[in-house]
Amino acid sequence: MTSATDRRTRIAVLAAVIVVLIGFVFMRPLADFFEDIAFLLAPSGARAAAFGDMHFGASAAIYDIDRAEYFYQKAAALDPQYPYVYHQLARIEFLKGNFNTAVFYINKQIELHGDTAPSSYYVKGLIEGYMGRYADAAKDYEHYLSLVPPNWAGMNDYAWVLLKAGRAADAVPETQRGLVLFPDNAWLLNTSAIGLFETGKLKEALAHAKAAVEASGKITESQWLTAYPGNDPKVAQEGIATLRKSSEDNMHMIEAALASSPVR
Amino acid sequence: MRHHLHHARVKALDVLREQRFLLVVSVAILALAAVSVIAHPSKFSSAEVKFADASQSGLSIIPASCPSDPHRPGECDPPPIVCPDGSAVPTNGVCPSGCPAPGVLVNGQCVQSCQQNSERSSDLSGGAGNNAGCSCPAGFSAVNGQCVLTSCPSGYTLVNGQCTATSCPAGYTLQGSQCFISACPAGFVLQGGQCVSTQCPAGYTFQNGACVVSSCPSGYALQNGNCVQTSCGSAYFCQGNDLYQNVPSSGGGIDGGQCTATFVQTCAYACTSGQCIGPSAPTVALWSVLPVLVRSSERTTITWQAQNVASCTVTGSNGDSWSGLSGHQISRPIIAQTTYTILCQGLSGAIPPSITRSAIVNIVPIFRER
Repeated sequence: MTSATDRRTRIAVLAAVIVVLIGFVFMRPLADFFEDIAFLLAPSGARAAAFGDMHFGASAAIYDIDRAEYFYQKAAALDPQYPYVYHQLARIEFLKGNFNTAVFYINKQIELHGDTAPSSYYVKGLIEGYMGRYADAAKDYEHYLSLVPPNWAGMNDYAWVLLKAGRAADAVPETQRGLVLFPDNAWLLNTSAIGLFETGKLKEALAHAKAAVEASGKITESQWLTAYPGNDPKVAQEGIATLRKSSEDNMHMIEAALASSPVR
Repeated sequence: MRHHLHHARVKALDVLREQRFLLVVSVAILALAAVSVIAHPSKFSSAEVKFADASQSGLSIIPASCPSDPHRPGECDPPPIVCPDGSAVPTNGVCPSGCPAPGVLVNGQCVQSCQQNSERSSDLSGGAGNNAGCSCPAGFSAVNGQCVLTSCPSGYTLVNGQCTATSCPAGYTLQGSQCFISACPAGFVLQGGQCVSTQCPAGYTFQNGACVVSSCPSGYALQNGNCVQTSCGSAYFCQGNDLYQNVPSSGGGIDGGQCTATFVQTCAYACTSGQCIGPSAPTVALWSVLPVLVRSSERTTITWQAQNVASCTVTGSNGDSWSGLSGHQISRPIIAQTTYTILCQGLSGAIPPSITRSAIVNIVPIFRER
């Protein structure tokens, strides 16, 4: 009798463990299923956008860019005027590398909301920069910076497209303006080094490049995800590695150029 | 003994079954764990992660995307201003040093501090000592922890710490330290230091700083800068039944611009809107013959009223006859079907010249049995 009871107890415990594991294993698909049910019970643009924001955030557990896109598409279908719906879709397509689609969405966003959403001009400049349309990107960055208080990424990226457009002489004061407010910013220091180098100020360029290497070495995953919102938290270290390597390569190149330059 | 052996065998089988069951469960758990790895979405590597854009000299530019998230505004903005000792700025704006934030006390004076960057190399600003670690905006230089204006943009010169104009753009002249307009574009003239438009509407020309009349409409002539009437056209008008016409006083030409009313004719009937009109058409407003069915020897009643007529005559085929523009008459006894007719003559010149109406009165038939 006692043996049978013990056996039943062991079986019951094992069954409970299995149920928990199944729940854990299939949690995500089940969670998505329950999420879909919850949305279907009360569909609206606002709820769809909220679900999209949740999956587009910096939480590694629920980051899912495809799921985010799915809900933003729902939000756009239910309420095209909902704030930032097309802005978020543009960001997703940009992150996926679908730049033409990203441009379509961000143009739609700007058409609907214009200057009431200044960051949309920033995103447009970013997309255009990645597409190699530097002159257009510069105009959008200029418009963006005219609407908002100075921020380091806006000034850094504006300087980026100026450099690419052959306007290093305009890029240098932009990075200098940024460094007054953000003197230890790795991105600004790196871009400033490049601008100074291309305008013939090798010594100053090397100083900034060294500072950029030092600053990039201190960047944390949290800081990188702040600099690149909407990215999968799992790739933060890869992004930091890109910045560090680029800064170091730049420093070495400037050192070599300075060493071989007749004028120092 | 046999009983014990049997019991031991059963117990062994139970243990074996239990071990098999545990093995099956373990395998199932491992399988589910493997599935879980597949079920969770793998990491997503965006276009930004490894992006580095080569500059014209081959150096790697790294753009960011900090302000792109609309739900996290301000994360890329400058840090809030604090006192030099790192403490928050008090509500009165004065730091513990006694200087307004973000100022510092230097040699007994409060000066605007350079930004916190004490870790950087001193050769960043090209100087040493008190200039070390200071980055000032373009045109400014760090001196003793303060950003001082040292250069001015093109066309300006530094005078007493301020930029003063030394040259002016095209169309302007330098007077003292300010630029004033000296030439106006086409279509404008300089008046009182301002560019005033010389464009005037049709019929006007620009003279002596103002638009004046240069041409007059038809029927008017320019006299002393004003348009004066020179012809009266062919305007007719009525005064009662008399028709008049406006003509120039001397029969035409420029002569003081006066028009005189000239009598044309007295309308035979009436004058309206500058023309003579004829009489209205004759009408029979009321024509009633009731009853139209009577017994033999009974009578009927004839009533009439006419308008815009000279005369009316009412006649019956039984010999009844009356006249007048209106009337109410009783017929003689009706002994057979009788037709009554009204005939009115219109006013002289009316169209049509006359009007007529008729009505028939019948006798009720008498039925006799055979």
